This record gives sequence, structure tokens and C-alpha cells, in this order.
Amino acid sequence: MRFTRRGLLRAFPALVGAAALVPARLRADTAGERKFLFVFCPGGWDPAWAIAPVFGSVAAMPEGATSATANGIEYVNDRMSPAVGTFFQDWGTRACLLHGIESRSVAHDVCLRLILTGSNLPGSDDWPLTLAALSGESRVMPYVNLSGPTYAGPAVSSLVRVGENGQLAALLDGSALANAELPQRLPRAERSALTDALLALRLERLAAEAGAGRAAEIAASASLSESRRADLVSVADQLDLAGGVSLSERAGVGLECLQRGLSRVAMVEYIGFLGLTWDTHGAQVNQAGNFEELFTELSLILTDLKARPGTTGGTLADEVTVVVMSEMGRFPRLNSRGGKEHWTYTSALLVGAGVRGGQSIGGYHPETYRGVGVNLADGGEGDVALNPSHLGATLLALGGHDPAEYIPDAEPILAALEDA
Amino acid sequence: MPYLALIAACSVAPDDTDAVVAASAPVPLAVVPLDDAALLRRLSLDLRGQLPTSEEHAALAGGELSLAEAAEAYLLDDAFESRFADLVAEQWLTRIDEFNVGASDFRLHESLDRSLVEDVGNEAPVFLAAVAAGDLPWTDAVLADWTMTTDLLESVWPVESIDGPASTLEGWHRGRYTDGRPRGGVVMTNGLWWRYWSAPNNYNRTRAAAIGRLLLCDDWLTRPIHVDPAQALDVSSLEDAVSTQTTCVGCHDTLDPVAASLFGFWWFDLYDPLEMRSYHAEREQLGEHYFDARQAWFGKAMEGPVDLGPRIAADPRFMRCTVERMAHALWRRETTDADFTTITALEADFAAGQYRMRPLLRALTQTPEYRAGGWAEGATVDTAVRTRRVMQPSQLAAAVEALTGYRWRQEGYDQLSNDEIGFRVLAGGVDGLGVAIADESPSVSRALVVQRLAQAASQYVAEQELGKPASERALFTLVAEGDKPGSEGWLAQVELLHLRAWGVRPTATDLEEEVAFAEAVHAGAETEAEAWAAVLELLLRDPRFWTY
Repeated sequence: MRFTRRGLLRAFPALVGAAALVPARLRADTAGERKFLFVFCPGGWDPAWAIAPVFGSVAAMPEGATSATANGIEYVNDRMSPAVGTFFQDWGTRACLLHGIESRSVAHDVCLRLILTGSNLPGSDDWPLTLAALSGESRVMPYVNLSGPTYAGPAVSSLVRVGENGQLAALLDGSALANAELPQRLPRAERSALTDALLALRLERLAAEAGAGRAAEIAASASLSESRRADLVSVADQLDLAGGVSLSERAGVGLECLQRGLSRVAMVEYIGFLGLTWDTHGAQVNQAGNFEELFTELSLILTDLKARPGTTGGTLADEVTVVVMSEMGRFPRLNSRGGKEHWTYTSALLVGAGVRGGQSIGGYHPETYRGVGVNLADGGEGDVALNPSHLGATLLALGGHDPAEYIPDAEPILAALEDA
Repeated sequence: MPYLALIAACSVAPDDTDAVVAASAPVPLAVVPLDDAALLRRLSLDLRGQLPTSEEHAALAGGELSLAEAAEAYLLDDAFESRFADLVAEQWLTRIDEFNVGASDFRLHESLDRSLVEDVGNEAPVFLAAVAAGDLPWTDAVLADWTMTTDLLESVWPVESIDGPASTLEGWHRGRYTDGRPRGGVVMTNGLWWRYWSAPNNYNRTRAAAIGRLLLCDDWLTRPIHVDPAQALDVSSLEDAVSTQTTCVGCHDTLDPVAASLFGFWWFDLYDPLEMRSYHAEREQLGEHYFDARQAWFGKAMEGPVDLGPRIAADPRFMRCTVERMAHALWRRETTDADFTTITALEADFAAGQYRMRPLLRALTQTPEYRAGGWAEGATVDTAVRTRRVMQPSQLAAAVEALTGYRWRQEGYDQLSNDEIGFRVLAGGVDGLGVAIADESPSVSRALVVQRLAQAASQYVAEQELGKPASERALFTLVAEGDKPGSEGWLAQVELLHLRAWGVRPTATDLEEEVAFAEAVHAGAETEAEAWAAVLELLLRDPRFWTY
């Protein structure tokens, strides 16, 4: 097809009108596909301070705290963080804790990459992006990253970073140009539609003619990205991507994207109470404040999920799995500064759709504070030492994919899956 | 990593060296090199961050300019220094958006916050770029007794201007710290250690690991941890465990003595500007007290931090790593064991050039990996080979500015070099913290950034130029007022735009489409400038502009 004057003039009204229609991919049938909200806690949380009660072990525990159980989940009952107990009382039947996941390092950067990709090799896609890419081309922004770390390799065209202050919104509404030091106005809608149409035509042609290798990859990816960009622009006024301040409010922006079918995966970062971080080398008490706020906010998120209609008749809570994680744990003993150093074992929390709730899988050895072996099938003690790949495989299985195709070195924790 | 192969080579008897080299000889790449015009574009974008001029394209096509001459000219171009700093910054990750202290901590107006962040983040890359652009031996990177500074940095750090070669980077000049720190090039700069700071109980190990990773391509942090908790919990603290547990000693025996040499940069308060601004010579021996170990470089004792730079400079891994890092920068991929022989040959070129950066870069641009443009028929395609590259945000900003005069700034921020209010990561770049590897493929957010940049720059240059006489224009030099789409003048101008933006002349199909497109836009346009802006926007959003 050529972009001739006659053809273009004839098509012109249709081209312009098309911009006002709902993008085709928004009508695509993605209903029923499991969606994910990741809440990432960077810096290294201390499971022993809230979700892994290891009283009587080598681990230093919060002063005055006790072990308590709600809906089959054992947690740390600490007066400094009552929201933890409230959360498991309200949502424990849908929650599963995974303990003793070894991230094989004590360096933040390395652990981040390992816990999110299972590999220390550059160029790997992380779990959220892998899940998003497996959703195919049917979503506008398959993985919307509102904040938090990302590792993007071949599937980067499925990732949409919003920016730490919601900058994507300024690109979408054009204020990024109006507010520039050399301010410019957006082109007329008719001109934009013409430009987009000819560009799309050329991108398709480039992709078809690119042959093999990088040129083909880039051309195909450019064509898909441009198509998604155009669709995103067309629905931008229905979204407030820069909205919200608190964790639950920012997560709400992600849930809006999931609810509208724009995204399969969203991530939001939680950097701790008052931004004090989870990296508590010098103030272990901050872990309590962080967990208190985290679980308060998680309760709000789950309430929000239940209030939103789903795409299959129920609520969004029936379709979304919430994944809460941190790149590392903390050394069992307090240091001389009243904090805790890094530790190579950590925990993760799965809540919601597809999760067999009311259980904790794995644990920490009371004398060594290493992860205890797990039986992947029933969740009891076994001989499998959990590592990030097991987490990744479990997430893929939750997403309805065969983990073996993508993660050959680890099987999913079937015991965590409702349908297994 | 080639370094692994180097270790393997080191472990065989000397007489077997030839056999090792032969065994690791790479299979020739079945790649088709870029054509001359495309290679000119790649050289220009890689070595000076800008597109070739139309005169350069014409000279190449006319045989008055060879690719070798062009590469040489680009290496000597004023923009080379800035481009080299960008390449370094992408790997050293020093250009972050926030440090522990800001301008107001030094009683400066908060409006200087961004400038201070930029200057601090740029000190290390700009210094290394000055070594490269000054044709100084790369050992100066860790031996020099000077740094690069700005007036702003001089107002907050103990550093003063000194005489030296002029920098092509605006606002930057040579300086020297006045706080008694030893010479040591980049490892004695505040900028590096403000980025890689140490938590109190980390005792500078993070910093030592940064030295290993950045200067030796040997990263302690990526080694698997084999802690025996039973032992670790038996000793009074984890600090003791690292020097007593056999599983820890393997790394810490070499890591800690390097960390011990960095205590002149030790801060008792991580957020105290007075602590952070100065080197603390009186703390140089503090690390030996903490570690109960002498300062040393992989088993070779150091008298103090004054020996750190010389030890690095004398370590053969330093130059090898420099070659690997530059290969990564220009090949746009990690080097692997398969590159062993090529890297070795490049290292020889580097040595033959007295370890000056330009000869190394020249040699790198002559490798098949660099010049790859496609695959031979029937060849097994390896998508890791970057037959096509995506412009990084700094290249995009520079290329668009060179073409249109438009630089995207807001509130003093360069919008393609920050993530606080800007779009660096959204455009595929690195922020130095959460995103440490640049995207090598298009994405939705990148498409949006490119769209808005193309719209702004096109509108700006069209409105700026088209009201002026042709002789006063830089880009729209061939079109006259009233030239309609398809007219001779119009077509000549479009050809020029194609050549400048894409590096090739338009095909007949391109022209036919663009005439139709321009007529349609023109029909609804309020001004001629708008129609031209639309044509230029179209070209700038096309991958043939932002890939190379």
C-alpha cells in the first residue's frame, strides 16, 4: 500500500475519525487472564520483624513481641505494627507467605537482579515484564511500572515506565512541551492523525522488509510500540497516571490500568514510612514503622480490588494476584548500631487470585537462619531450597503459563497455587 | 567474560599459549558491513554524538572524504569529549538525580540544586573524558593529580582552578583538590564516592567493589555468597565472620585491604556536607584498625591511599578492562568469551598507541563487530550482534539539537538527562540506580518521548527559520516561500532533510508519500511552517532517524 495523495485525501476523514475510536487492542479478548500487582520494598526488609516469627531462634526479634496466628498464618504480634495482624485476620485466607528464599548475595544491586529475574546475567527480562510480554500484543501497556526497579531485555516493548513523578502523563497530555523553556504547542489533531497514519504505514513496511537479526527486531518492536503509543494517547484523558501519593493511591492507578484491560501487570514501590527506607543498618525500629504502614496500605489495596468490577463478572480481586517482595532479608542479629546487616535469605507474600491462602511455606532454621527445605507439592518440609527462580516459576504458573518453557532450572511451588 | 578466558589462559603452561589462543580464535562473523553512508552516520553518532553534516555526506559520496578520514575528524571533533563522557557515564552510573546533600546544605540557593547534582555526577566522566580528549595515557585516569571542576563545585568543595588545556565542555576546567588527598585520578574524586557511598557497617566495601567492577571488570559482588551461618552466628559479630570464616575469606581477603585504602573518604555522618566535601587524611589508617588488616592491592602491600592509583595502573586487568568497556560501549553489547582474541588484539592496539584512548577507539571502529550492518545470506543470525543500534537519550538530544537548534529544557533541567521531571529513563536511558542498563529496543514510553521531542523540535526550527532569508537558515536552506509540495524547491528541501536526518536520499516512494502527506497537511495548515514541521516530525519519529 502506498500513501498517495488521492488515497490519503479520500481516507483523511476516516483517519482523523479513527483517533476518536476505542483502540482495537482495548477490545481484544483478554478477559479471564490473571493479572498482577507487584509491591516492591527496596532496601531489604526483615521478615523476622513482621511475617516470619522465629522466636527462640538465633534471630533478634522485636522487643515484647509474640507469635500469633490468624487464618492459619503465623505472624509477629508487635505493638509497634498491629496492622500486620489486622491484615492477616482480614485477608489471611487469601494470603500465602513464602519463606527462606535465597538470593545468593548480600549486595543490593545483585540481589535486586536475582530476586526479580532469577539470574545475574544482564539482558534478562524480570518476572513482571515476562508475565506482561506473555499477554501477547493485546494490551496497550502490558506492564505499567509506576515506580520500582525494572530489568528489561528483549521484551522491553511491553514495558511502560511512568516515571518517578508520573512524567508519562506530561508526555501524554502535551504539557511536557508547553512547560518547556522553549514552549511549543501540540500539533492539530488532524495533522497528528495524518502523521501517525503515515508513520504506522512505514513502520509496518520496515518490519516486513527488515529481514533477520537486530534490524528486524527493532522494526517489529518499533511498529508495535508506535501502535501502542497511539492507543495510549487515545485513552490518556481517562487515566491519571501521575495521581496519588500514598502506596495504596499509587497502586490504585495501577489497578485502574488492570481494570481497564490496558495492563496485565503493574508495579509500585514502597520505600518505607516517611521514606526512611528498608535498609535499616542503623535503626531496626524503622522496620516496624515500615511494616505497619505497608500492611495498612495493603489492606486498602485489597479493599480497593474488591470494590472494582472485574472483566469476568466478579470483582478485580478475583483476577489479580498481589505480590509483595524485597530483594533481601536481614542478618538475624542486631549490630552494634542497633540495626541489622544484609542477609541472603528473604520472604515474599502472595495474596489474592489463584493463591492457596491461609498458609506459610518454607521457613528459617532456628539455629542457622537459613531457609529450610520445602516440598514443592504440599508446602511441607522437603529437600528443595527455595531460590528466586522458584518464585518466578510460581508466578508464571499463577499466570497460566508453563514455567518450564521459561525457567528450566526451577519448578513452581505448587502448594501455593489454588488450582494445583 | 573474556576475563574468565584470560584466567584460563593464565592457568596453562607458557608453551601452550599459542594453542590456547588458537583454540579460542573466534569464528568469523558472517555479517555484511554497513554501506559507507550508514557507517559514516554510525561513526559520527558514536564518536561525537551527532549526525554527519550534508557536506560530509556529499564529500563521502564524491570521494573527497574517506571513512578513515571521517573517523579521524570525529575523534578530533570538539563534541568528542562530551560524547566520551556520555559513554563513560552510561557504564559508571554516576549521573544520578540525588545525592545525600544538596545545594541548600552548602547555603546555596535551592535553584542551584539541579546544577550541583549534574556537576557532581559529571565529575568522574568529565575527568575521564579530559584524559581521553587530551591524548593522555590512560594510566592518568588513576594517577593524575588533577580533576575537572566547575565554578559551582569550587564553591562547595575544596578544589581550585589550575592551568591546563581548555575543555570543550562548557563550564568545565581543570582543577586540583586542596585538602591534601593523594593523587589518584578518578579514584580520588568526590564525584565518584558521593555516588558510591558506604553505609557505616559496610566499611567502604561497596566502594572497593566499585573499583573492581569499573576498573578491573572483576566484580566481587557478583560472586555467590556461601555463608555458613552456624559459624557466623558463633562469632561476636558479622564483621568478625568475614575474616574468620573460610567461606568469606576468599573474597574479603582481597576486598577488605582495598576498602581499607579508602578511609580518607570515610564519613562519620552520611548526610553532613562538611564530612562529605573534604578528604580526611587523618582517617587514612582507620580502615586498618577496623579490618585489622593492612591496606593492600590483591596481596601487594600499600603504604597508604597514595599507592592505590599506581597499583591499579600497574594491574594488567586495568587496561584489559578498559578495552572491554570501550568495546561494550561501541559494540553496544557485553563482551563474552567468544571475543577473547579480538579483545586481545585490541589490547595490543591500545598498548601500541601508548594507552591513548583515540587509537583504541579507532581500532574498535574497524572491527567487524562494529561495522556489522546485516547478515550474509544463509548465515546463522545472532541478534546479540548489534547490526543496528538505538540512539541513547544523550545522542537523541544532541542529534536533534544539531539538526534543529532545539534543546528540550524545563526549569533548568535537560529533559533527556534527568528523571526527576524529565524523560531519560522513559527514553530508554539509565538513571544510575533503578535502571542500570540502557534499553536497546524501542518501547512505548520511548515512542512517546521521541514523538514529543520531534514535534517540539520540528515546530521550533520551522518557525525560527522559515520567516528568514534562506542565507540565514541552517536547515531549511533550499525552500523558498510559496514552494508547493512537489515543486522543485520543495523536493530539493525534502531530499536535504532526508540526507541530514536519515543519512540517505529519499526513494521515489518516500517522495510520493511525502508529497501527498504535505498536501494534506498543507490543506489544513495555518502556516507554511506547520506543513514543514509535519514533514520533519515524520522523519524524526521514523526509526531510520533514531537508529543507526
